[in-house]
Amino acid sequence: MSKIYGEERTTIKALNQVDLEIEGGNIFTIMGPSGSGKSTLLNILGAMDKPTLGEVLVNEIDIGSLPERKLSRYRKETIGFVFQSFYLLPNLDVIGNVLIPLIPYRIKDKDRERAQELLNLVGLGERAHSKVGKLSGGESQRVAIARSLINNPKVILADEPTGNLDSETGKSIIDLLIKLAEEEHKTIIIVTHDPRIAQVVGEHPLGKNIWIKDGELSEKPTYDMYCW
Amino acid sequence: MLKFSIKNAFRKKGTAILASVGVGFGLMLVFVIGAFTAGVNAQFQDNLTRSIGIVEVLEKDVEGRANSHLPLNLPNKLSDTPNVGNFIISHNIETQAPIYFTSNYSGPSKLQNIGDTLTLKGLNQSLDQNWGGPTTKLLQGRSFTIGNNEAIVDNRLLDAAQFPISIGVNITISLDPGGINTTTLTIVGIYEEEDIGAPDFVPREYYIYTDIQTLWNYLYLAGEETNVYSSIDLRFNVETTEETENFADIINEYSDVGGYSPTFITAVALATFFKSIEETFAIFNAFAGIIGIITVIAGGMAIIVTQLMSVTARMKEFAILKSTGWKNRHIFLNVIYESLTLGLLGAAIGMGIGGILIIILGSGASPFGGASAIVTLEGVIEVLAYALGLGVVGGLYPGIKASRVRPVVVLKGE
Ligand SMILES: Nc1ncnc2c1ncn2[C@@H]1O[C@H](COP(=O)(O)OP(=O)(O)OP(=O)(O)O)[C@@H](O)[C@H]1O
Ligand SMILES: [Mg+2]
Repeated sequence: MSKIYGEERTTIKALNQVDLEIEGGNIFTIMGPSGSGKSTLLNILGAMDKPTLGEVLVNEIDIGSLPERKLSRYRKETIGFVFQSFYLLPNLDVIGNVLIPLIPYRIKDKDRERAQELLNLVGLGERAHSKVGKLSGGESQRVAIARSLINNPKVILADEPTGNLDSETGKSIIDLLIKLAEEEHKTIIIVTHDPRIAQVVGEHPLGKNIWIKDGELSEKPTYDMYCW
Repeated sequence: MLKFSIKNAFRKKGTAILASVGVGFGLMLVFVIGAFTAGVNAQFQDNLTRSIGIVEVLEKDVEGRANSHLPLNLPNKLSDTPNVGNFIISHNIETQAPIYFTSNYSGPSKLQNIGDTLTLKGLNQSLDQNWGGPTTKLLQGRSFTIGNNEAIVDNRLLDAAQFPISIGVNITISLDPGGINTTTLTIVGIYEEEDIGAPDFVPREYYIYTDIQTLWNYLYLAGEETNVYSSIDLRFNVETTEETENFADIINEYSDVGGYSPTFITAVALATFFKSIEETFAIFNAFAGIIGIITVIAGGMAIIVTQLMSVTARMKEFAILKSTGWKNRHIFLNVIYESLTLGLLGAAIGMGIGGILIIILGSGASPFGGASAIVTLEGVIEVLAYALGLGVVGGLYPGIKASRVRPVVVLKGE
């Protein structure tokens, strides 16, 4: 699968014939230097973007060829996104933010209970009705993770989830994501710059590291990747 | 979703409220004008209803009532008209307009508007009582007595006359433009006159009544014809304006074949006159319509601009919503709900300010004449409909823009 930006002379091969298989229930890190195509890959996996060439088969369905209507359903039911800048809505409280994906549908008591359970899971059970503006970075990211889980997706895609956090808080977020794989059997894909995260994941029985450079996958890290 | 959108509409409180106030002022105009139009129309309909059955008889082919000279035996002849059945009759005599007030008061002897006229009429009081005319509608004082130079005046003059009007005041009237022949009447009563209910800029005729003999005496002084009636009013017991007009037609046809010879007369159903005023309302309603259109355009722009600003600033947010599975339709609806909120807030503001304005205008000197504003359910629904229309129109483009956001593009460079 390839993703090519631009036209004719000014093309950028953001992803160059990437061939990747992701088994359910595992934890992956995608490591690589800036501009190597990590986010592009993640976005294509999350149906936020389409590949230029090739296909992305999810349970044998090529999501690259699905109409927008089915893509939003795929994003809703299969994927949970976690971003570097948490993107919480400041005018909703913590539990309100967890419930965002359900706003277009009627939110039932059962949904609220689930949101509360997820907040308990991410360790913010007591803060359900706090304003999100008062949360620390780590707490905000936990809310974002709870939000990504509300539709009970099989896959969590996290693009530099610790990028805005200090290393200790970052570590606890990674531990939380690992816990989701262990206890909830989620497939976790983490884009990161942080080699320590790759190390933690690499040492985990469910973990696997993927390296990417100039849009191409490589089996092993190269030295310059650790320059980050 | 609705709750979420309503909250969202006030994310930028300042601009949201500003837009709503802008929309509110437009809708206020729609509301106030609508209320006054409804008031004027209601009064007009009232007059139209009251005019049912009434036919006024004048001499044929003369300019104005004062030049109409009907012989004293005409009422009897009219009663013998075939095919019209029974009717109540009243007759009166009136002076040559205009009447000039010349003494007791040195200010301008003007009425409210250019084109307003003042008419002095003589009445047969017993016929008038039977008719239910001015002498039965006294608000203050008493009716005139015969031969005592007494008069009762139209209550609308209390507002419209630029000279003093009250009981006990002597008014000196000139019966001719030169002011040569004058006469003095004492105001002994003020009676209630029905206003035509037209907007204020429509000229009105105001009245002073005295007894018919007194007026004949004055007309004699002024060298005018006496012992005639100016007009004879007939009231038929019918239910509709059509039937009334039908009787007027029968009388006109009977006159044309010499039925009242040597006199030839014109009979006019009062309703016909009121219907002719209806054209004034057409202007009024067109005006209200134009205001409505301007409101939709201006209000729609206010909402579009506000929403565009808000949507542009929130592209990332829409991208996130999409990443969590919101469909384009959901995002579009969310923006539409937000602008509907702004529109409806505008409606609330408009009706609030409009309501206050109606109370103020209704109690003071209203530019809409005697007619008071009526807040009708239709009026409220109209404003709400405008608000909803504004919301949809104003939210359409921003909504489409927001729903088309491509999450990858927006979320890049986080
Ligand atoms: N919409 C786009 N149009 C053109 N080029 C793009 C677009 N999005 C990404 N690219 C290019 O594709 C390449 C890969 O970008 P991508 O965002 O996937 O990198 P990344 O590995 O996530 O980098 P970073 O670590 O800085 O986030 C880069 O060269 C980038 O400039
Ligand atoms: Mg990136």
